[in-house]
Amino acid sequence: MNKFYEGFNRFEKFVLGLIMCMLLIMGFAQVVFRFVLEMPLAWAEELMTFLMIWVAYLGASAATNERKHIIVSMFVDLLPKRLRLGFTVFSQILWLACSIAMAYLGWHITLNYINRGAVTLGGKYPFWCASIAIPICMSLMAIRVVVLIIQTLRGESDVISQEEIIREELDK
Amino acid sequence: MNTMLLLGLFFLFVVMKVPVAISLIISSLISCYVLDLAPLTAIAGSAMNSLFSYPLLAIPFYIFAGAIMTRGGISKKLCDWIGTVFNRFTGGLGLVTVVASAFFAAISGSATATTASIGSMMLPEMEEQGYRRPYALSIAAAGGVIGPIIPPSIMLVLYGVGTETSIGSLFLAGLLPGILLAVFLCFAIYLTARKEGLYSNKDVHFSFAAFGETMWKAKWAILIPIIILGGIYGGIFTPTEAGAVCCIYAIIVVMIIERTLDLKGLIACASDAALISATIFILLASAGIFGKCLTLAQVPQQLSAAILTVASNKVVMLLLVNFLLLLVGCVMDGGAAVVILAPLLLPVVQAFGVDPIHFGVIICLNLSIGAITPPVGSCLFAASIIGDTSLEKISKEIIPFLIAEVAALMVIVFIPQISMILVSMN
Repeated sequence: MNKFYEGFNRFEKFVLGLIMCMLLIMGFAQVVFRFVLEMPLAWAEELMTFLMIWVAYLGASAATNERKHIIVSMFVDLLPKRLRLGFTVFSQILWLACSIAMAYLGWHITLNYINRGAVTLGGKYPFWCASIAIPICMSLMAIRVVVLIIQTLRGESDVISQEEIIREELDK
Repeated sequence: MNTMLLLGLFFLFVVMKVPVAISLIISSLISCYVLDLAPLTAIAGSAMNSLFSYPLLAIPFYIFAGAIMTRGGISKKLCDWIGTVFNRFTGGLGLVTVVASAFFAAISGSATATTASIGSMMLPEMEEQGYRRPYALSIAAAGGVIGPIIPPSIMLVLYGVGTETSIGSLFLAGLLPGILLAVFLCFAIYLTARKEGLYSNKDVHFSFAAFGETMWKAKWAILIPIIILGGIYGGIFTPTEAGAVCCIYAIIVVMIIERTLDLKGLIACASDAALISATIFILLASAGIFGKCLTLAQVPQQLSAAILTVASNKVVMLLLVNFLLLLVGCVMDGGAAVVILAPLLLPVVQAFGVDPIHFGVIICLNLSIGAITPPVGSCLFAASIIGDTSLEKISKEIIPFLIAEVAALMVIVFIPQISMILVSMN
């Protein structure tokens, strides 16, 4: 099970990197087509925003796993240890509830797009291709948060400290 | 009542350590349900609509380019080049640190990265010349604040998207204030270095040969700001396109010319950049949901009315807003704060005739200064880690630089021309 989870984490990050590279290639192609060939790529802009929405939600799920979400932990850190644990778990339960709610709402939005047959103005891409990222990735995020809650209850540190982030930065 | 519920819930959740983005969504969903503002699905639609914006793509591109470029060992070359000009003055190495930070800012746009890479480069040299370690580190931390002001700046992109202001104009507006900030810092370094007894080095003279030689070595790094700034200001690229061009340029330099990065490393850089961008995007999406609730509940109107009763004229209002922003900058990440506060505060300051572009510079500068104030100043953390020195020691040394930066802030706030002159010329 653990192995599968690790494998999925790596796969998710790889997909993110791949989308990023695709975005870059399309962005550069756009510049080249506009300047050199003098024919702007109308379809690229919308496709790029679609991919960006996937980066946003898939990345949000990956960031949960890597504890990279922006959190203000200074107030809870002032509390004694037991209370701190209690607050942390409580905040993670809220987080879980929120991601489930967003998965549900995102699914409704997607259904709505499919029923209306909504497409973009330029390339006629169906909107649901982008919005389906919300229910899928929010469900993934919910799984991540459950893992996070288990880890917290086991006493593992729940946030990456600022120190670790900067050390990581320096190692590059 | 509406205002209290929405903002109160949000602050409650943030203080309870719920991630900022999640706090925004939960407080919106709860308030929307309790106040019966609109169907929840209508609100949640903003989770997608607020990301449907092409200029936002600039963010992952700049993060990606910065991540690639910093692997090429540019900080050393930049410091060597700038050193040939500034080394001979009083507090020379301190000046080099600040000027190199300003230059590095035009490549990476991140305050922490600036402090970490320029600081770790300059620290050994500074110590060798008799700088006390906490003093040297405080200079590196203070230099990092220039990062988010000098374009390309992620904070300015976020402000531009959040308030529908032209990002190109914001980049133009940020340049002179960034330089002014560097000048104020250099002045503070000159004064403190004299007190420390770090006088000018009379034996070293300026040599054109050394200047030219080091500049040639640093040419790949120096070209980046020229491509970005020149491209945007010359009207050749949009900020997003400049980001893409910059990435490709960085990949060519680092992978083909310098060969310090392989394909595997590139993919790793790409997924890191995507991940960091995602944490910013998810904030934007949730701030979109929150913003919709705020508008439906008429919070901006209530808030403006409240501020208008307290602040009677422009000066009082600006001081009040700046104080609030500095305070928020002390406890919250700058990017998150911009996304939440910019749409809320802009109508208020616009009522007093402040230009949206000028306000963008003000808000970013305020929040970046938060990077060198305890308790969560990210530049202070970076400096304390690279120098293995306690936060308290650096915090004490940073006071003169903090004063210099707040002074520069006040000049920039009350002389709007500094920010606006390049915009009106273009």
